[in-house]
Amino acid sequence: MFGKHKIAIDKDLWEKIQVIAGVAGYSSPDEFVLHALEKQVAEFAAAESDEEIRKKLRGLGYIS
Amino acid sequence: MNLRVGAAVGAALAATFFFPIAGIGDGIGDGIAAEAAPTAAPTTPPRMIVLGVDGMDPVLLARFMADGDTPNLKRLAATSGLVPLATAVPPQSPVAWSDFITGMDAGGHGIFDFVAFDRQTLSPYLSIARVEPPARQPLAVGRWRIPLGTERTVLLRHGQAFWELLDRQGIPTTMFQVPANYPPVPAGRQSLAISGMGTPDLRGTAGTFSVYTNDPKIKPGSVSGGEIRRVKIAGGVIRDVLEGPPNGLVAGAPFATTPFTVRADPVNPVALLEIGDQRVLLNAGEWSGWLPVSFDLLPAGMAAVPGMVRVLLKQASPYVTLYVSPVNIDPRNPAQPIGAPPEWAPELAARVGPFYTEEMPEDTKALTAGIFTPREFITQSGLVLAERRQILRAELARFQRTPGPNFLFFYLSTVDQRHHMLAREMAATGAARDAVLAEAMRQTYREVDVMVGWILAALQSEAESQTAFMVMSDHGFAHWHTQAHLNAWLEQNGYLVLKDPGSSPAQRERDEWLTGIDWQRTRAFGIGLNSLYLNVQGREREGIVPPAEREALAREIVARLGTWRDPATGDLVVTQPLVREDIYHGPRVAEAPDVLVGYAAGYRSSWGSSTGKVSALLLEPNTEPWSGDHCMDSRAVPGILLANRPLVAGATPTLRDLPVTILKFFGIESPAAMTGNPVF
Repeated sequence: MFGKHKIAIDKDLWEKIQVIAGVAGYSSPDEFVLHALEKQVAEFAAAESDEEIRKKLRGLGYIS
Repeated sequence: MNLRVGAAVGAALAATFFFPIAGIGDGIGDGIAAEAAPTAAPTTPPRMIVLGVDGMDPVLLARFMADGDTPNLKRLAATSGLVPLATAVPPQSPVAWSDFITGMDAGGHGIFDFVAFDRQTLSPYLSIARVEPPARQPLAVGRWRIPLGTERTVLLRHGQAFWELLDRQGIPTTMFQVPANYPPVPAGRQSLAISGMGTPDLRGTAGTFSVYTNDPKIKPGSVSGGEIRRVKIAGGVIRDVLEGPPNGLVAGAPFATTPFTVRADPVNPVALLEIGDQRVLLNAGEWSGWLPVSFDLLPAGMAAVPGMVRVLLKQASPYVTLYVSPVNIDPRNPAQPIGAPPEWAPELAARVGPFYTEEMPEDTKALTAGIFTPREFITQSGLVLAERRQILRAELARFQRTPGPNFLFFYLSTVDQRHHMLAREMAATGAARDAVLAEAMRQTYREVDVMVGWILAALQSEAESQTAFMVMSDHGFAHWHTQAHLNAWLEQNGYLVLKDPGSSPAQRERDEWLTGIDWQRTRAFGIGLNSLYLNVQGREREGIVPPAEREALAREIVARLGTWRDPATGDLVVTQPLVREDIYHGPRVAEAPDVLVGYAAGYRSSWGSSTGKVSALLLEPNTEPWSGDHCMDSRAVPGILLANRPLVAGATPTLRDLPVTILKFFGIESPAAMTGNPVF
């Protein structure tokens, strides 16, 4: 019902991820990858809400 | 540096009403120069009432006083004088009220404009509060989105509110709708607060009205601040939905809706509105009371969001036109935090009935869109004022019943919102003059004066004989006749470059929110009402100005802005261009716009520049119904201060002096961050 999805990561990239994850204090490379992806998705989500923010601004009488 | 009142304001006040003014000339208010005279320690517990009247103008008030329209305010002025109160830089309500609340200028509290700017996303946002999304993205289950955390609304104003300091000393405080306090700051057990300016409607906007009509003359679609929907009558019935909050539980977050019907009488000008379990019969031109509404986020009522609306049946025949107010957070059952403690809003509503909770509820957008006539706007804003009268009566009575130290702040928005929309009517002469509209501000000041009279009457008792009372405003007003296209000036002076410098006027009109700008070649841009930013390397996402050159560039632009003249009149367009380092103090100076643009009285940032457009014109008449404004040279639009005790001799007060005054009155030492001086 909840589903999971697999992606393929290049071996060289995976090795870098493992090193960075260890240095940055993540409990596993998987956690680092998941966190990095969530951050990126959140940025896109914020961009979608720019239009909402602009709608909010338009409600001000000072702004047309 | 002492405050000097702007020349025009000073002369007008001196001509109409005698009271002490410091002098006329240049300078930015920085507090009272004279040493505060010691006040006699009150023999009774300290008690104070402050009435905050947004936008009350000293020149207008002096005129109405002289004409006998405001006898109660005149009584106060006989004690303190009618004193211009230096406003904030820039003189915008969220900035000014934040000065009042924290005793700091914007370099301390961090509110610089209605419109703030994110230097990384290069996007604007409302400056008072920001919605932070949940830490985790919602879990997708088919079309449903199950939240894994809650979003949080964060008040962006920094600094301690003065009432927090009162509360810490055990002094009960009531803050009714003080602006720039959403979500309301949770103070201690002694404090009660209802949020004001900054409080959204249920859709999360600053107020989005809805209109449902089958009148072919009214074009459907989105307008600024509203939605106009075309409806059809089938079998004598209109069936449609009212849009509520975005439903974050569904993919795409569509607006949750609630259905309603309208049955218009084919012969008589009446209609029956049915929404929820409410059935309301309205005559054409009649307003409903507050109607509770509910929006289901999940089926079978598993999650519903309550709100409320007021409805005007503008027309019943031959066409039906129904205006529905923005969906307000219902104070009886608040879906968002509008009260601190949370139970106070329902308690107050139980005493006085439901009341507008959205910020600045006077629907100026409906007038601008042509949905309201000016008279309908006056009526609707009168509904707001009537509610405030009722609430003030109730809170004044509660203040009187509560012995011991006590502080009450009460806010009124109607003077400000009406002046924005009626300035042109006030200035009209001859055949263009509509006597009712031209005199509407006088009537508004009279209504406020009646409320002042209630407070003065309440202070006649022995128990209140030492109670201090102040009436203050955050800024004054000027007739806004000319739009200044700041971004066009920057482009024509080589500071701003468009991706397509040959853009047509139509394209320039479409490219708002700075989307037309070539960031690789732009050094300065404007967005918001008085804010000019430099495009700095390492600060703005696409910055090109080396940090070491930032201040010099700001000063160069300030010097050149000060030479911008209106070719039609020869008048200067900008009389108060300021580098932020020269006016702001505190830890937030680096967040400020680099230059604050104080337009000459009568000029303001254009509608386009305020949303990041780059016009081909430098100046253009303002022909919108929003014809009064104050986002100008702060010296041209001071507020007012009146009190029931004499002010310090030679006082030239600023907003930042007032929280210090309040704290001193209650025997509390002000924190070092508060930069003002007591006025009594």
